[in-house]
Amino acid sequence: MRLSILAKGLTMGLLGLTALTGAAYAQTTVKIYMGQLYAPDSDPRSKETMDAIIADYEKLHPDTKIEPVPWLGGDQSTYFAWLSTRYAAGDEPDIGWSHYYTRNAEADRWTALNEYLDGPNDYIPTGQPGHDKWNDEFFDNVKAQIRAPDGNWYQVNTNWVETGLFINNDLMKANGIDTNWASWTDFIKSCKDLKAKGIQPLGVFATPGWSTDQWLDTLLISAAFADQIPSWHLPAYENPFMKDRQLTPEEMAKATHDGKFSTTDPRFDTFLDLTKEVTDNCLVEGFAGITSLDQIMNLFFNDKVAMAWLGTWNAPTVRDTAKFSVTTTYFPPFTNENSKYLTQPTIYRVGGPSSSGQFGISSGAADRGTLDASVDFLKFLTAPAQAQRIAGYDEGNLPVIKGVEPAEVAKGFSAISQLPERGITDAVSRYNGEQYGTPHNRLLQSFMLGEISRDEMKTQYQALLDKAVADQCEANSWDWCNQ
Amino acid sequence: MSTEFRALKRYAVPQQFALLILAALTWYPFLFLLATSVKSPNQFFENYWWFTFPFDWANYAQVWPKVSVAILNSAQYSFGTLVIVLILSLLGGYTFGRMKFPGKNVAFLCVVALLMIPGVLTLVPLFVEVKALKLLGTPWALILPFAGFEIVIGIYIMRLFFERLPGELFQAARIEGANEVQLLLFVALPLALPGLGTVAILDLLFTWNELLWPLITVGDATKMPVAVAALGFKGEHQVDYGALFAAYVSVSIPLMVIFVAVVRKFIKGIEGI
Amino acid sequence: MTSVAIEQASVSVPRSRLRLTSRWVPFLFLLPVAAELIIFRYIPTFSAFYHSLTNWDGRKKDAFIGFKNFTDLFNDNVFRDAFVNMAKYTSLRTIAVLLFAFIAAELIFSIRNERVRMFWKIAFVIPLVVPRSVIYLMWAFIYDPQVGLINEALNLIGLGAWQQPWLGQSSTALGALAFIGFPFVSSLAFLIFVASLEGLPRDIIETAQLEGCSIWKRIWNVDLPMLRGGIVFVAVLLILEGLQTTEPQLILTRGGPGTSTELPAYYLYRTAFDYGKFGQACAVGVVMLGVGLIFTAISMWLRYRSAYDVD
Repeated sequence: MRLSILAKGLTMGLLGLTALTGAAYAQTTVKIYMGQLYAPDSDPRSKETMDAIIADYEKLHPDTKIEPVPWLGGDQSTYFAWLSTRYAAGDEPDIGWSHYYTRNAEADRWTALNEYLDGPNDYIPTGQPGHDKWNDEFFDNVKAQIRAPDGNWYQVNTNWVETGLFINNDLMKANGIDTNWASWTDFIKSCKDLKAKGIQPLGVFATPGWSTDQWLDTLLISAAFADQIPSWHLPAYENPFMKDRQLTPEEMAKATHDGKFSTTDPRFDTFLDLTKEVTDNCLVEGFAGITSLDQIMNLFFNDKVAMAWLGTWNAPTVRDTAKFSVTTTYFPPFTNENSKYLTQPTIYRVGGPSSSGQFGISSGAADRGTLDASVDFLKFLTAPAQAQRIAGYDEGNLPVIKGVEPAEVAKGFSAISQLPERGITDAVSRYNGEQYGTPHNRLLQSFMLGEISRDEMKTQYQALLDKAVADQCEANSWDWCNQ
Repeated sequence: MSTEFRALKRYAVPQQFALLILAALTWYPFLFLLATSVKSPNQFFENYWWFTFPFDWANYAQVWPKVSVAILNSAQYSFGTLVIVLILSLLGGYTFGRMKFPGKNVAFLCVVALLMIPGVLTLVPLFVEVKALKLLGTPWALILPFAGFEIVIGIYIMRLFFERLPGELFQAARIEGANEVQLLLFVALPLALPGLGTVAILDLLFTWNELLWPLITVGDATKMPVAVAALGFKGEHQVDYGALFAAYVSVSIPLMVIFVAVVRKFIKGIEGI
Repeated sequence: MTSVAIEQASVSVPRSRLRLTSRWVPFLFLLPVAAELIIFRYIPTFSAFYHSLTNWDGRKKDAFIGFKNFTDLFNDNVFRDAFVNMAKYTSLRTIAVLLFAFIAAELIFSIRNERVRMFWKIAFVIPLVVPRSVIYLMWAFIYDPQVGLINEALNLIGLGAWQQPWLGQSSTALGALAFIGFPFVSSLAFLIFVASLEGLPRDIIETAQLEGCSIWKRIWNVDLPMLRGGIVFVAVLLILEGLQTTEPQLILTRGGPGTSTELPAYYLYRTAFDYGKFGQACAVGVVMLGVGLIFTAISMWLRYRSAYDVD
């Protein structure tokens, strides 16, 4: 004990000495991993722009060196294996790409940014949002969604993604299909017409991992439970930023705990009915045997499916590749005919902050003495002047910083982004952890394929819900848990 | 291979037709790799299965600066690993294959049991350890763990190899008064060369293509081995398959050259298994 | 090998007075091997063993929780399915690989000219350099339900009714994964078989054939027994592959449909890196090791139960 105090004292003294003697040369190195935003190999423009931004910053701060880690390649799994291992050895980057929905798997990884977000950001000109209070420069709905269950912000987002329905106009016209749908029922009817002519209607794929079926899934479940969702809101999360918002993991857990979100509720049957209807009538045959969005695009470009549900990030490829006229639109609203629990015709947008620009600061940064420099660089990076430069090459995402214009190809999504938010979010983040999302997707996939019966599906699904609540209660000890 | 071609013409037996079909199926992935590597993104979606024209050579120009560096890196890692793997496989294989000692079966089981330990299980503990040993940032962070994985199968192969050698070879040398070290160096080693060739090839295939460990341990982008370098061309949402596959082709060529050069010895060594 | 080798060997040994105590020599030789294996394999493995009894999250949380990870695992039907799948996947793949490697080896063996045989061996070995991830990406499209090569081919030859979403239904998905890499000739198994067959004395075989012994009889009575060691070796490698496989799940099926393509290594990977439950992931690894050890012991026994004496 004493020895360690002595050692500490010695170290502090030495550090002090170094600081005194080497003040002029003291350098802080901030390591930053920013995913696709710095991908020298697959996107040379990203390196060019980001190097210039970093050079500008280092000119302002000669005592700080910013060290970008290039895009690792592969997919998210690769990145998470990399990040987890580096964290285990205390060798993670100071600023990392933080996937908001994996917060659970990332316990203690990130620094709460609240106090910094409440402070000024001097890189933003006076009078513009964010100058006095950094947090003001970000879009409200984004702030609402990335807020952690404990009320903290562990990340800032410079952009996010939107999704849209891409339609092959030539194919539709040749088959006399009118795509000016007034309601979901019309949409289903078009699917039936297409199928009758031997055309596969909609390119969506379903696996237990990430797949576009989970978008569809959230639309359907939000419509089925539409009348209930507002009553599940907890005061702690009431959000000045937006009125219709996604339920937080705690709100989902409590609704489940109270038996309001349950498989015995008739709304759950509505959800399953809607799922069955769209699966049987619209989805491309073999949807569970398609493994990636690239395969969906291949089908779309080769006239094998009439429509594909894709993300903003696919828009540049569609623009450059499709040999037919493409309309980017969205699904028509659900009505009472589809779900009697809807109060008014509604369709929800599907998109979110799981995009290329989501940054967290490692909880190890404070110990390494790089926290202040990391915060300062993030402030610089998210200031509109820099964010605009990033938006120039990061075409497939929508900037979420006030005053930053999206790239041309992403502009078509602006209308979609105004649609109401889904009440119930992607299964992977519904209960704060992929360990509930994967089994959810798995059960849904089996149900859609008709490989398990409705009753069996419900039994297993309820068990999953109960487990999610038990785990979350154990981890968070919310006060309602024991009631 | 030209002599083989000539011989082939003279012996056009019906079996060769069956072999031709098998060979076509076996070579198709390689052709697919080549075809995709000269496609523009549009051509990739146009025709997945075969060559499209005109060839887009720009993919190679794009990947070469990075891939050439990675090939040199990988050569360094692979060579270092190879030396250790060959020495230790020889030692281990010879000891298990030609010597009697108490606890031999248990010791051998302890070695081969490692075959059954999944690499992902030890990924995190190994990384923590390699960092504690201050190996990060040096080639040893790859070479030593790679060797740890590869010598297991190496020892196994060399044991099988040595066991098949007739005992008289060693007895004759012993009668002449050779000690164990001399036996190893002057009798076992020359005889073991084909077996070591097999181990070497398997080891090269492993180190050359290994992805996850170097991805995690190598921090410096200029020190990346080929598999990691190639993956860098795979963006998350926008995959330029042409560039990705051009990178794969480029990194496969050195391996292929080595293969063609040593394949006859490799095949000889396998006879011992 | 040959007697020439014996002579060369005995001639090249220089005389020496130095004598090592032979009792210690095996241990001396194994010392560097042991050092490498202990540092880079055993220490991390035992660390993982320890963590299998904790709730380690790969970061700060690391409390001892007894066997909870194990009881949780055995209560998870996905985990149980993963092991059943592994047994199926490994057996399917072992049978398929052994069968095709054997057919190709026999085809080559039936050619009399040595040069021609060498040509074919080389031709089959070289494609080994193609990276595995390329193979998986390619097979994703081969199995595509709409534009896939298999379904298109079936359509072309009038068997359109046989079209399947190969990876998209539980009944075919695991088999489809096991079939990836068809015709499996570019493999170690093939080379081992060819080499073993070529070790057979040709005149004996020809005499046997002249005396009316059918090819099938020869294969059954002569060739297959010859290959026993090689078959066991290949089987061990394939079981190992079955235990370590994560790529087809990561690139293709993500374990679906349902649990039909879950395998233990992918389950481990997901538990650690997607769920952040490193303690539990370690428990998966310990169970896998237990299963692997049983297989290894059986294969060793098969290999050595009537092995020739080693001096």
